[in-house]
Amino acid sequence: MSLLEIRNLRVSFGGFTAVDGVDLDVAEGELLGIVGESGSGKSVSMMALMGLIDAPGVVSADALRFAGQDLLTMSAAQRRRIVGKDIAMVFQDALNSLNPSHTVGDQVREVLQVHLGLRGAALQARVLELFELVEIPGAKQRLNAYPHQMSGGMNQRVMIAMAIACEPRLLIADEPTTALDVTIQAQVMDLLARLQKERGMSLVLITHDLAVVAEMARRVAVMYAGQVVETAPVDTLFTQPRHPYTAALLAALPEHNQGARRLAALPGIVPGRHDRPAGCLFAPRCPQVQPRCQGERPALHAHGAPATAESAVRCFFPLAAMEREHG
Amino acid sequence: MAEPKPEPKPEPTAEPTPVMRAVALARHYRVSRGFLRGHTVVKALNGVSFELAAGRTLAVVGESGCGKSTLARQLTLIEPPTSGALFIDERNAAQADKAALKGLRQRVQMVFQNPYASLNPRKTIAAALAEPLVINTVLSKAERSERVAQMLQRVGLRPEHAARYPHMFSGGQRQRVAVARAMMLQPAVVVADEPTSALDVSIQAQILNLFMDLQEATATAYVFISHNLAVVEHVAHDVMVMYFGNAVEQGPKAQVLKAPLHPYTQALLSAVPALHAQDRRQRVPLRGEMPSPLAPPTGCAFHTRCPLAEPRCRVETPALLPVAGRLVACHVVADRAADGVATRATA
Repeated sequence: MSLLEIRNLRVSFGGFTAVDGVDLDVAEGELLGIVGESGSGKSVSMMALMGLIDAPGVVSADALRFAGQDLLTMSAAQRRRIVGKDIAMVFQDALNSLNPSHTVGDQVREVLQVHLGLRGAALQARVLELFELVEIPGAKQRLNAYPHQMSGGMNQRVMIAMAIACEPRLLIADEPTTALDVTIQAQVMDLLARLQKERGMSLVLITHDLAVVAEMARRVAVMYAGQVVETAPVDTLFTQPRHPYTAALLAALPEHNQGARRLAALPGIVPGRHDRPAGCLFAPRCPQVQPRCQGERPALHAHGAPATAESAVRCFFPLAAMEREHG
Repeated sequence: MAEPKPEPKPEPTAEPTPVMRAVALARHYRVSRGFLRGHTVVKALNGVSFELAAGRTLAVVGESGCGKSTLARQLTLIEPPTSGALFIDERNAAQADKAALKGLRQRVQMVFQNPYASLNPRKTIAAALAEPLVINTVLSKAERSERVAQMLQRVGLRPEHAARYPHMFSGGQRQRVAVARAMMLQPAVVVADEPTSALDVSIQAQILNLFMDLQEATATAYVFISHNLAVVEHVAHDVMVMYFGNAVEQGPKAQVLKAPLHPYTQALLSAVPALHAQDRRQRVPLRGEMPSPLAPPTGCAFHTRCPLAEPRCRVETPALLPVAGRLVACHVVADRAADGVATRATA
C-alpha cells in the first residue's frame, strides 16, 4: 500500500489553476523524483499536501491520504500533529527558511519540544545527536551559531536536522541543493540519500535538475503546466521517454548534444494564465502534435507490460520506444 | 560511442592577435575586521593570466567565492586592477586615461545572470537597446531605430516587441534583450556571468543557441562564467578552473574537462551529477568548505581540502606550470609529471 496517495489534486489561485489534477503515489521507503520547469506546479502540489497554501489559493482533491488517514477531512489540529512530524519538508533557500534572530540550536530544539515534548538533558542530547547525524563539524559549538554565521551548505544541514528531528516517514525536499555549489550539493545529496536508506524513510525530491534525479531516484514523475505528464522508473524514463515533453527536455540538455554546435531547443514557453490551450497543454509546443490534441485533453494512462501504476503517460500519441541517436 | 564524431573545425594555424589579454591580473580589497580591530586585505583575485582570440570562448569555472565575479569586474573595466595588466585590442586598459577608457569600455560588454534585475523596468525595449548608441555613437534617431530593429530580429524577437516593457516578457525573452543590448556596440568581447543559470532547461537551450549563433555571425569572443559544467563543455574552447582567487587548471576544453589533473578539478567534475550511469565518475570527496578569505591558508589555498596534500603544500604556493597540454598549479601533479609517472586522470 502507498504511504502517500494523491488523487486529482487541484490548486487554484483566483482563476489560475496552478495544479491541475495531479495523481501521485509514494510507497513506503521509496525515493520519488519530481521534475519540471518553473511554473509546472511541482512545489505548489507539495505545499498543498503540507497545508501551506493560504487564501486566495484553493485546494481540492478526490483523495489526499497519508498512511491511510485522509488529510482533507481531518481538523487543523489533527493535521498539524502529522505535518512537521510524520511529513517533513526541506526548502530550497535555507537562509530564508531559518529564523535569523534565533540560534540554529534553538530552532531545532523548538521542533523537539513542540512535537515530542522533550525537555532538559534529553533535549540537549538529542539536538547534538541530530547535528552529528547531519555531519555538521564542531556540532557542539555550532548549536549556538546564528544562521548568518554559517555557510549555505551548513544551514541546509540544519534544515535537514530539523526535518528529520521527529523521524518522519515522508520527507519532501524541494530543490534542496539548488542554491548550493556543486561540491556542496554532492555532499548534501549524499547525506539525504544516506538518511533515506538508513531510516527507510520515503523521500520526494523536487528538482529541475534531471541529472540529480537520474542519480538519486528510482522512479520519476515529470510535471508540465500543473499536470503529471509522465511517470516511469528512472532508467526507462531517461532511455525511452514516452511523452514528447520528456523527450524534448532530455534532448535540450547540453549533455545530449555533444559535438553539435546548436542544442535541440524546445521552442516557446510554458503556457501562462491567459494562454492555456483548450486541448493538451503541451500541444502548442509539441513537435508531434495532431488535430486531436488541439481539442481534447489526454488523461494519464498507465502502460507497459503488465500495465502498472509505475509507468504512465498523458498523451494520445505516446512515443514508441525511441531510437536515440548517439554521438 | 565508437562511431566517429563530426570533425571539429580546423584550428587556425597562425596564432591570431588576441582581442583580450590578461597578465597577472589581481584585485585585492581592504576590508574592516570590526570596530577598532584594524583592516585586512582580501585577495579576491590573485594573478590570473589568459589570452582570448576573436570568435573563441573562455569558460571560467569555480564555486562561490573563487573570484569569478571579481574577474568579470576587472574584464569589463568596472574597477581598476590592484596589479597586473589587461590588454584590449592590444591596448593596456590599466594605463589608459579617462577618454581612452571610454573607448575601451565599448569593446567589452556584459550579460548578467538575472534578466529580471538587469533591465530597467521603466524603459521600453527600444529605449534600452538604443541607450548604448546614444551614449557612444553619433547616429541619428532614425539610424538608431534601424539598428535596434535589426538587433531584435537577430536575437529572435519580433519588431512589435520594441515598444514593450521588460515585465511583459518571460525570463528567456528578457535574456534575449540583455544579449541584444550587449551586442549593440559590436563589442570584441562579451563577458557573460552565469547567463542561463536563472533559466529553465528548455529556455537555457534557446539562449545557448543564441550565443552560439551570434558568435558564428560576428566572431565575438566570450568570457563565459558558469558553474554548470555541461553548459561549459558545450560552449567553451578553453576552460579556466578557479579556486580561491587563483587559476588552478587552465587549458583547452578537451584536456581540462576530459582528463583533469588538478585534484580540485577532479573533485569538481566528479561532484557533477550525470544523466547516464556510464558517465558517472568515482566521487573524489572534498572535506569541508572553502576557507574564509579573511584567514587564507598558507601555501596552496586548496591544501585544507585536498586529498593529495603533502606537508610541502602547507608552506609553498604552487606555480601554474605546463603539464600535458594545459597549465596546472599543483606540487604533486608537477612532481608526477617530472618523474615521468603516467599522469592519466583517474576518470
